[in-house]
Amino acid sequence: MGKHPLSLAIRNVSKRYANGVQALDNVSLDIPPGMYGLLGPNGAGKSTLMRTLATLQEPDAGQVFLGDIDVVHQKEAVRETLGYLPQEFGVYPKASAEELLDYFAVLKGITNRAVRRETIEALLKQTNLWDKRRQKLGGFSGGMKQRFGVAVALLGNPQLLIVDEPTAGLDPAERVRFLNLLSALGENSVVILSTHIVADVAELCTHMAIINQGRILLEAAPLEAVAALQGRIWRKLTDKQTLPALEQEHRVISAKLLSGRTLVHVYSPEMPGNGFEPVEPDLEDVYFSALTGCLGPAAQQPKAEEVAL
Amino acid sequence: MKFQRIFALEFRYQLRQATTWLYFGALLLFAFLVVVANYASDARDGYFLLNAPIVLAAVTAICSVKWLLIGASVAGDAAARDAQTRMYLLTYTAPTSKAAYLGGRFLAAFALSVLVLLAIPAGLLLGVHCSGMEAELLGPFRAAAYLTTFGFIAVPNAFFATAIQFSLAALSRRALGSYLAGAALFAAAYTIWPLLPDVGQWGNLADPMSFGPILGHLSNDWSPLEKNTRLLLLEGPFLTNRLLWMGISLGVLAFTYSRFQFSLPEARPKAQTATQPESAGIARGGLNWVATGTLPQARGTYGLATQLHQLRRITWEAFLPLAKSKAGLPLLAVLALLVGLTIPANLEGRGTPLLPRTDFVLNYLTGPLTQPERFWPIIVLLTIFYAGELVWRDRETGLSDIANTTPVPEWVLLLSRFLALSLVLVVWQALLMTAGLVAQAVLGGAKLEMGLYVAVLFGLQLVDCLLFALLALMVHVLVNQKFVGHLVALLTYGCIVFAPTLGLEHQLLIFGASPSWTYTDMAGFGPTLVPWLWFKGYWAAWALLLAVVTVPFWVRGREGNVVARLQLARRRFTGSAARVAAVAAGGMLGFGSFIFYNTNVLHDYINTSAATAQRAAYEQRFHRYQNLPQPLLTGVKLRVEMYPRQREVAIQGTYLLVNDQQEPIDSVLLASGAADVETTAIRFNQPAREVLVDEDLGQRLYALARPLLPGDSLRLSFQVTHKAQGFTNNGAEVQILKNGSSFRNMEWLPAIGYQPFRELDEAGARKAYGLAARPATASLYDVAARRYASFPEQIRFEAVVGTDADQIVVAPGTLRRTWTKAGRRYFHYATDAPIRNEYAFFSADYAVQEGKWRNPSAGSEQEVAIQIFYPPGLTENPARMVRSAQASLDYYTRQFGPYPHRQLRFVTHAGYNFGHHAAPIDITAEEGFFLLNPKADKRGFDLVTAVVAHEVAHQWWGNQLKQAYVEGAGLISESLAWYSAMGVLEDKYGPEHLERLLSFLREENETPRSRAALPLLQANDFYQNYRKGPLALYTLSQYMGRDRVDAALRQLLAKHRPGTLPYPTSLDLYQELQAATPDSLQPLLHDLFKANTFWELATETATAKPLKGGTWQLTLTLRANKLVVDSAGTESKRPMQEWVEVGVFAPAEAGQEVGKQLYLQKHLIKSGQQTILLTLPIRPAKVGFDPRNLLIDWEQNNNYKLVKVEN
Repeated sequence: MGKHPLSLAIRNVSKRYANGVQALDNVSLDIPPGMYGLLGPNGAGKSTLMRTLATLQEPDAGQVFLGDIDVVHQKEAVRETLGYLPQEFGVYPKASAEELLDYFAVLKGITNRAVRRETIEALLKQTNLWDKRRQKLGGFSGGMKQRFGVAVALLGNPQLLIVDEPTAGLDPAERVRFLNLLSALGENSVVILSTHIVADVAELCTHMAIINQGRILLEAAPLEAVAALQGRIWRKLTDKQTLPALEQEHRVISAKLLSGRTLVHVYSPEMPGNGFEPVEPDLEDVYFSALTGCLGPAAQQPKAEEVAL
Repeated sequence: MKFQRIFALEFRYQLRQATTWLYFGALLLFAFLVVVANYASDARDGYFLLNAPIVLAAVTAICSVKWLLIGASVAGDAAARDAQTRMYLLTYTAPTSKAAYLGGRFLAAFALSVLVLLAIPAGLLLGVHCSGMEAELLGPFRAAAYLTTFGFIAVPNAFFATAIQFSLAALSRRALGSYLAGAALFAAAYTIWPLLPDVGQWGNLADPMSFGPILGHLSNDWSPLEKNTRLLLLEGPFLTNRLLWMGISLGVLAFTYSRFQFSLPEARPKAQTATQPESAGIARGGLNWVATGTLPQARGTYGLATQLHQLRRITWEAFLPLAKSKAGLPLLAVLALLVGLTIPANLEGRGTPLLPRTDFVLNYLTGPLTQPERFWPIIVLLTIFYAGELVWRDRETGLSDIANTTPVPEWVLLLSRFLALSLVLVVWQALLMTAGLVAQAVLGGAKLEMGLYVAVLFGLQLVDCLLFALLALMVHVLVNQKFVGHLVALLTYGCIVFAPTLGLEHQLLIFGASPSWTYTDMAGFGPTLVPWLWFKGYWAAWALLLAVVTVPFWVRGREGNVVARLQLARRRFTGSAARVAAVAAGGMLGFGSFIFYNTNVLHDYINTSAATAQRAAYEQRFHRYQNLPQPLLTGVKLRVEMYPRQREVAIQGTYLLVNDQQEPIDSVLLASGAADVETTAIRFNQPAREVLVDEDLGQRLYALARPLLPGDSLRLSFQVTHKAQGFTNNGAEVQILKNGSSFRNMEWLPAIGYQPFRELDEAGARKAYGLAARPATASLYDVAARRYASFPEQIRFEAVVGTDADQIVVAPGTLRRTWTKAGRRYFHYATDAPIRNEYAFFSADYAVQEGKWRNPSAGSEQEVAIQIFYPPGLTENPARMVRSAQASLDYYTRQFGPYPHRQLRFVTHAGYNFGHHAAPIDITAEEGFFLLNPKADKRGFDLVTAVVAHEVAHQWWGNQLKQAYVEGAGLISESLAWYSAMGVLEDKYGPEHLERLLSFLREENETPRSRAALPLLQANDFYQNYRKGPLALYTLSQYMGRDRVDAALRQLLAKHRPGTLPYPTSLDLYQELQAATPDSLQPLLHDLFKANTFWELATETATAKPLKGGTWQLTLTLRANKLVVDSAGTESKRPMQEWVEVGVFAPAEAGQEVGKQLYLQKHLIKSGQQTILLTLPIRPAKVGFDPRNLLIDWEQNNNYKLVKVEN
């Protein structure tokens, strides 16, 4: 494999399941090396896209290229440089972390025993599992298991690393440690992080895409996307009863309870009216704006390309 | 309320599952097939009506046992779904009572099981009434038959099985528990059944499915009348069985209720141990959040070397957990132990232990996987189960998504699973080998042949296991749904097992099939290995081809859709896969063509229906010549060249034919030998014209230019050649071998005239071919049939036989001369007196035990040489055989008449059996007979001596007195032979030997069987001919004296000299016995032979009180009955008025079973209850009513009673 980082190109990928759900609808993305966030609500099609990239699923249409490897048709070549951490996975409960990692090292083609031992030691230390390497995996907590998954995913120094909803089950401390670990990787590889937690992306990713109902709503650099919303997000504290009326009048992107009242964020190029005050937008506003259609794909397409270039 | 909701939810949930209906469909189809493919043909042959209640019951029992394997998921799912899907977090915490939860789930599972089992009556109805069965096969429709069958067999079976399966699954929280319970019940049904004769009523109770007893009613112990009319009701042992298992099921359920808890027992402690170190870790390493150091840069290397490394590693990682699991090696070890424990009981010949020679042990330990009566089907089930575990393990643990994105090619993934499964099977062979070796060592007396074990278990048996293992894996990969995969694999296995019954017989068409190999010490593998290897090569190529095609279907992702999987597979199918496929296909075609050339070109391929058709055609075309006057064969002269190494035989023969009829003979019908010989150069010594040639049936009709006048003779010369060529679908011909060759005239040499034994006998087949209906065996009262017997001609025989220099040839007659010429050894045999036209030639490396017998009342020319040609090394029995033969000759000549020959020989024939065939002079003894070890017989019975006496008796009964081929023929051959042997044992060995022989013969009375039977005079079955017949003759001899019976037999022999027509029947015997029997015993004679009579004798009370003067008065209450049972099973009482022995015994002394006999007298006994008073000199301890078991009474135990003492 080439030493220089590869980038991933997704071209018009569609997937419809047998039950009629259109999981991916003509998705195209360009993913440069570095951390890439794939943000979307549950059921948006993130996992389908991730599994497709991880060679576990076939798209109905479209192409995916990692450098010049055709991901759909040259699965074996992709797998040689792929690390995958699925959303949910199990382990052999009676195996120890070290044993199972060793096993996966062989599966990843590291056949030299000395090299394998070194690699395993480094990874177990990296993931802070070195002390527990002899412990049976059946006794691992969710976070430990997740870190073990990362260790497996990192075997063989992958150029494409796919992590699907990795922080979902982690406590805050675990999550921080996990994200730190990931960010160390983003230098030489394509790292795709799918999540429904906006903060994960905000903290780590240089690029991101927002996906919903199988479609890409926005493809941007987080900072630029936030910047683009500057002056367009307004907030108002209101009562629950007035919310429907407010929704009639304005493009409400989010409404959350705050000390018994409702804090409403509204998208508007201009001051929407009385009682509203401007907000410094954050990535969450970008996310909600995209989901509510304020940042439609049509509107954002030129911008997205700009970002990509 | 809650209970109802839980029940309804579970019931509806599973009802909507496709698998539930798949089970229903599979079971329906199976029931239908059992009716149509299995029982319909028996019904056509007249054994029973197709819709007889017991047939419905048998089908229900068979299907409900099969259902155990497929239906286990219903109970398992209901019990363990919550735990396995992690739903328990919601359901266990809900405010539901344990009773409602478990009760609802269990009853839903039971209801679903009953619903699925309804497929059986549905399949029965379809098979019986909607598949175009002939009306005469069916009795009137009886709803009660269906209802009782379903209600008393299927529903209780469903309850027992569901209770046990549900409990195991609920307590283990895994559906697997249910499967294991199902498999155990299944195995119990199949393993207890074959043991039934030994375990008796316990077997009935031990089998929760009542599988054996129900099939036993159909095959054994119900009369034809009962079979067709009797409903299987809840009564007797069947009721006990149902109640017992109902109790056990309820007990199991109660236990489950008490032990079940709304929590996962294994989840709690583990969670604790897991969280503790972790929280400590956070505390300690709280600052160690930022990953330090660089990530390892090691990258994988890829290529074949890596793939092989991966293969090795995955194989091992797949094997270990499988081996360690409870259902893995521990279970196999237990199975091997059980198999080991059953070895001694299976290394017996009629109850006498065999020397545990390795070849015989291996014959027990190995076998085709399709043989239901052994343990191999259990291995098949386990293989299917293991295959499912191997294919599904990663997906079930949730590791598959990660594992599947690693750069491991699909072929490595599949092959590693196959290798893991192979390792398990290799271990199983090793366990079996250990079981065999240990059994041999414990039994002692035989050499442990390690090399043979390894070759047979790891070289031959393992191949069968591996072929099936690959098939099971492929099914699981392709089906991609675990339980459906199990089902499909089972159905596939079922198709393999039943393929021959369903008409698919060519082994090129049945996966993994091949002719079987045999190995005995004497003959080695002989030619049986070559066809086996070709077939296995062919199937290995097939397996490889299937594997290569299956590899691309290995599931890596989540594509379950058939179209998507097909597309993906097409993409994955690379050039190298295509090349391997091409090689495999090439191999398959290559092996296949060679096999086809052997089975269908070199030999005529004849399957069962073609063979039936040939027999039918023979009758249709040649029956018209049955009464064609034919000359009689009176002399045979042969020049035989045997080439054991080349497996060739060339025979030049001459027959001397004489017109013994009253009219001239103008044509001769010649039937040439079987398909594996060629008969050529047929010439008569006077002009004759071939007027009809039927090559297919091997028949030729010659018209003599000049009719053969009465008394004139004719010479017929011919050549017969045999050359073993390749093999047929049934394997290689095994008559001419490197060591242990033999062939008989009846198979190979021409015969004169129409041969009735070639006709079809089965009623159904006769009807199908439009042949006139006739009984399978001609009626005893069919006078015309008395003119036919098998090979009855009396011939003078002379043969010069050549063979390899290191072998001995045995043929009938005196060995006139033996010489060596051109590296071959020649033997010239000639008979001194005519023999019946049945003889065999043997050539092998024999050891010989010789003895002599001289008729004391005749001169020295009357000396008979006794020779035992036995396999070198087996020296235990030959001397014993010689002694028995001498004693027999002595006794029979005195009792019945002279032995006409100068030799008597026993000649070994290689094989696993123990039996004999008594041709004139030379008696064939199977190899196993020489392994019998009478010294180790716990009964103290010398089977070898007794059997030799029986076989020698056939030189009179069968060879001098040749019985007509009609009903009751066995009475004047087999029964007389055993009866005669009794005399030998009594006179020459002592009365205790006779006692042991009698009790050996009576052992068969303990096997449950129907009382319905023909009278002895007409009986044809084993029990009547070999057991009841001799005992009846013995009874008669005890009532009227052995001399009178023997005199009658002498008369019989004198009146039917060899070669005279008509041939004798059992009626002739009866006539002689009648003449010899005093009037008072004529009724007994009738009851024993002319009616199927049973006596029911019982001692009800026996009390004694002391009299003055030290004597004792004994009061006996006896009950007696006599009844006659016809062949349909109708029982009718007969008034009883006969003399029956009453015996009284003194208290037994230490170490003795019975005490001294104090009294034995015949009393006149009437039907019903009666009292007898006896005065005895000392205190009586035990009484016996007919204590010597002279009258036929299957319930022996109640004849005896311990005496109660009154003051």
